[in-house]
Amino acid sequence: MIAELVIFIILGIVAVSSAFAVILSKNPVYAVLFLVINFFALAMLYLVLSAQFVAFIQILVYAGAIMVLFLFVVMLLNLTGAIESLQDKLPAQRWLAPALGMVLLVEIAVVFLSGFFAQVPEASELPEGFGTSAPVGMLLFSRYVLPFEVTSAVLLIAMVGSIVLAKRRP
Amino acid sequence: MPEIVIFLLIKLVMTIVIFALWMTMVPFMIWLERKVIADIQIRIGPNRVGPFGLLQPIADALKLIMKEDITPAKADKLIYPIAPALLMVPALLAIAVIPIGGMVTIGERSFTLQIMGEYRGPNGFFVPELDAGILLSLALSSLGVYGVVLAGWSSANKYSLLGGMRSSAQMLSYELPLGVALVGPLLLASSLRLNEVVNAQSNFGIWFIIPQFVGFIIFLMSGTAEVNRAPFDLPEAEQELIGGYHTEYSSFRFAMFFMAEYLNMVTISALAVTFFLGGYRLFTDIVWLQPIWFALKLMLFLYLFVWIRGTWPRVRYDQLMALGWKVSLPLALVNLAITAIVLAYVPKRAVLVLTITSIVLITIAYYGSSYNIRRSTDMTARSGYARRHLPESEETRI
Amino acid sequence: MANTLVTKDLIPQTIQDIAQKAQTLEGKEIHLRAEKEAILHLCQALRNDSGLNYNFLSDITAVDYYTAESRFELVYRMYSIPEGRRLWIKVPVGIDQEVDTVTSVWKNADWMEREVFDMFGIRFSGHPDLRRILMPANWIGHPLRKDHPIGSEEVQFTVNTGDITSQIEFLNSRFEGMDFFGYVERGSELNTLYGAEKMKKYEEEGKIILNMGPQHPSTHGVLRVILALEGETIVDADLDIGYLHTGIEKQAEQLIYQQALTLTDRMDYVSPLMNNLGYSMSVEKILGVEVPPRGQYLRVLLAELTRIGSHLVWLGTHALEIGAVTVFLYCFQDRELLLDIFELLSGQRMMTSWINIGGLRDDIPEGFTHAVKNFLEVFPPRLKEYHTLLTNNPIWLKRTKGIGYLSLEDALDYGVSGPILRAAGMEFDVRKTWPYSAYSDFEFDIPTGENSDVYDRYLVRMEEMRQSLRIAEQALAKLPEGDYRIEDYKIVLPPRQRLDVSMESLIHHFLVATQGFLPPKGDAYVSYEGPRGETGYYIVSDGSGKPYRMHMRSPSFSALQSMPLMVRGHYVSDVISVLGSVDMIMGEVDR
Repeated sequence: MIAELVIFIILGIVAVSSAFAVILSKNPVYAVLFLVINFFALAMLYLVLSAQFVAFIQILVYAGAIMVLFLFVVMLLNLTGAIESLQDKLPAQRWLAPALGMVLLVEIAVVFLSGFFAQVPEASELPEGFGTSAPVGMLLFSRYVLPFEVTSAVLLIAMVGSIVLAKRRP
Repeated sequence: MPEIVIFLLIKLVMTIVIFALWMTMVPFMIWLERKVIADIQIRIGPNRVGPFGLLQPIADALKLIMKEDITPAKADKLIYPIAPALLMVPALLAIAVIPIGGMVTIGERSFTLQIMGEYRGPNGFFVPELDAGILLSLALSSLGVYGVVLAGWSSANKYSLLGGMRSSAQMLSYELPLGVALVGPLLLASSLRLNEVVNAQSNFGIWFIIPQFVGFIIFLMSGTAEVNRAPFDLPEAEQELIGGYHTEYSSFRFAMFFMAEYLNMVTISALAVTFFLGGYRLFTDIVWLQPIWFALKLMLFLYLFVWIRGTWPRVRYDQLMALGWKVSLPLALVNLAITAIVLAYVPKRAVLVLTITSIVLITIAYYGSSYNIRRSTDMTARSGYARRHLPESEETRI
Repeated sequence: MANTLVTKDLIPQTIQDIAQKAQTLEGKEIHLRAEKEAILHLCQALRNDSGLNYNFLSDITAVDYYTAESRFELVYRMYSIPEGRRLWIKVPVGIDQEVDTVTSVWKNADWMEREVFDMFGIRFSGHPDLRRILMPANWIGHPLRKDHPIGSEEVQFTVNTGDITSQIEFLNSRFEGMDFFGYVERGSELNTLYGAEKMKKYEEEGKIILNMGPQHPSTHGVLRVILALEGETIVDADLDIGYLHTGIEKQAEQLIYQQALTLTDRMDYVSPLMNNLGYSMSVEKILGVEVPPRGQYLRVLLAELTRIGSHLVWLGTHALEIGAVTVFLYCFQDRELLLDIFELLSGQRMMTSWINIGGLRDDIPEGFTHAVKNFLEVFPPRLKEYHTLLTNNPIWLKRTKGIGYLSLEDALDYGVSGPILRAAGMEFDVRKTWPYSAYSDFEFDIPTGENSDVYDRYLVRMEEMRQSLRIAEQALAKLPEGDYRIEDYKIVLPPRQRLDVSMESLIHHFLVATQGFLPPKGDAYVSYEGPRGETGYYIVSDGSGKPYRMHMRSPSFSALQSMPLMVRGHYVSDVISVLGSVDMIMGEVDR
């Protein structure tokens, strides 16, 4: 299990440092790329947890599709100049962001301290085929069918909404 | 020696062999393309370097490597050099999940000819085939987009950026129909493992190209678009965008773009073989012949790619996107729905019913599209559609 | 009437005169001389009079009679299509005098007047965009004036490095102040640079300005297209030509008639034999000689083969630009057969100069008939194959149908002729309207289109190739015996074997080869149906052995002007289809 720990630590370092790099890098294109690296580290962490399906979906959807669209937006808007003007437009955000961040931090701390994680049972032998597509699919369409469908409906609504908004402009 | 070491050794050898074979496919493919295109165009093609010009790709590669590696002054110093690698690496990795042969048994150990395949050792040592292998393959191919986008962006060139944007939009749009088209065979095989898709085809006794003909056509179309080949080679539309995203690249970095394109083509062909043409199985089950069957089927597709390139003009960008979103994706979804319904209600006669629905669907799509072409082109011709007043002759009435 | 100068007051009477004549002598040419003050009103009257309807401006050019009282003579040539009446107006203009522009009457007068301004320095008052068109913007002087110095760019040697360097510095200093679009501010006199201003305005409005060419793979040579884009949609386009200007018209003035013929090969370089034909016919008209039937038939045969060759280049490049690479190679293979035939004739593949003043340079060699027959046999199936590859190909249809629409009115307004005009539905073909050479002896049809889009132009040209084959077949079958050229040894070289026996022949040979022949004073213009439309040579003779002025009427020069109209509202990719369908040859546009 030492090997697993070592891999976890390395991936953790990559994930955290790339997350920092996202917010610290000046060039928005670099920021997007660091986020991609972050997603990769996350996917690897899922793999370490034997959750193959989630890992692949993480790469396929987040790294492969969504971040490319981010990159598109960044390149098309050429944000290097736009950022400064944004800062002027939303002066409240500069102060709101750290405050909300602190709130989140406190929340996490409270959850940790409340002993919620103590209830998690000791890891036993994984069931056959854990983390593969079949059991995930079974769960999605039986126990979590309502959240699953609601999510898809929400996504559909968002898509239709964005198309309507985009079409309205001449 | 512990079993895990043997396992790793066997996998290592297999990986090296398969990678080597795959990399040899690239020069071979370049040679094949040049020869076949030359044949289509009634030329001779490369015939100076080596027998039948077989060594021509190597000479080309040498020439490219010898050239100066130029970085434009305003290019991004970090991203510009690594962009070709970002395209090349996913293209290479995608082969890890494709089975090129069935189960091989040596003594106590048996394994499939697939890098991420099944392995059985003595004393119950068992590593299953990578689940959801197709997802990994799709994930990797979607990562290739980064290479293209970043190459276009980092070159600091209007035409490059436009080419990069175009091709990435194209690749993103066609990934959807590509993926959805593959779900039909996956449903029939009821597994995401490629080896089981192949086995399912031999169990059914029929290649999935028959019951999933619609899926096959969509896959072929989207695959061509995904690897930016003619008639969807817009990003490289020399006549419009000079060279697209790789305009500024030279030397080995340019060669990497070149190789990645061909590798992607081989990967897409390999997927098509696995999903629709029964994979590595043909006639007999002699395991050592299976890679050869696989290679033969692969050639068929590679030839098809070249053939298409030699015959068709290029579509326009908006037409390409319309084809992707308005034709391929709905068609793929309809096909998926039909497949699912048929499998749920008439699982015993699924193949027969699906074959019939395939034929019906493809007929509707064909007439629909030809009607659409006629209608849309009529409407755009402002003077309205009317018979042309060309002198009557057999040629003009073709 | 040719000698009276039409003034403003005489216009109504002149119109009546012409209307009367038009009824009696249809198709005949009318020559007028007009005062420069009257030209605009005269043109308006000619254009707008419904009975006359001179709706097609063929050409505007000028001649510099530098010793005459009013130095220049502007030559306007207009047609009424489809009636086929021709009208010339000559307008004497003094140096430093301005002439009213006729751009409001015919739109293609725009570039033509610019060319006249560029070459002769004649100003057109009211012209929207009077700036140089063929010469570099920083050129000093007007090259086609007779007093413009010719020749001599100094070559750099070690002895004159200093002089040259100063010259280069001087040139460089002149390039300073060039703005982004490459148009040069020309001082206060001509500051309203219409094209440049237009593009600048678009840029200020936030449109993307994209520069296509002059080094772009699909601009057929060196054409520069400046596009104003809204996203990928074209809002407007501006063209910049002159990158291939070789000053052929000026060079021709320095050479004797037979030598100047070789220059014509290089104008429309994909149909050189046709250029020879047009030039020869003009010179023959001045000379008043008639080529014997065998020569005429051979000329027709060669011209039609050239047309097929030219259309093959068009089809190949057009298809290549839309992505069908194979068609390109097929076309060039077929063209190779034609080039082989030309090589068989002359030893040259392209610049043959084979059609010559007085007939042909030599009779057809042995094996020529066989080679042509072979081509006529091989080519029809190939043509069918092109149809198979493209005509019903859905991608081809999508890329060409409905693209590049040009209405018939606009086409006539812009002086567009040839396949583009025919694709717009107008059955106008010089071979039928004003038959020249031996064309009246042949049976052929004129294909026309109806939608006036890229696809119809494609179909029209494809059908034209078939019709050319028909003509070539007939020409070969009916080829008469007899002389292939005139027998007048003061014009053509005497046969080689006669030189050994006849002193007179030797003298003729010497004279024709050195000083050339001396045609009578006068001018002539004969038009022919080139692969790109109505082409023709205007030649002025002052009685010496060299043409006083040679001018080519270039069909692409007119057609290109309508290109911005065709691409508006389409995508960038469609520019390529449209340029392909215009089928311009820059060698002919820039001359």
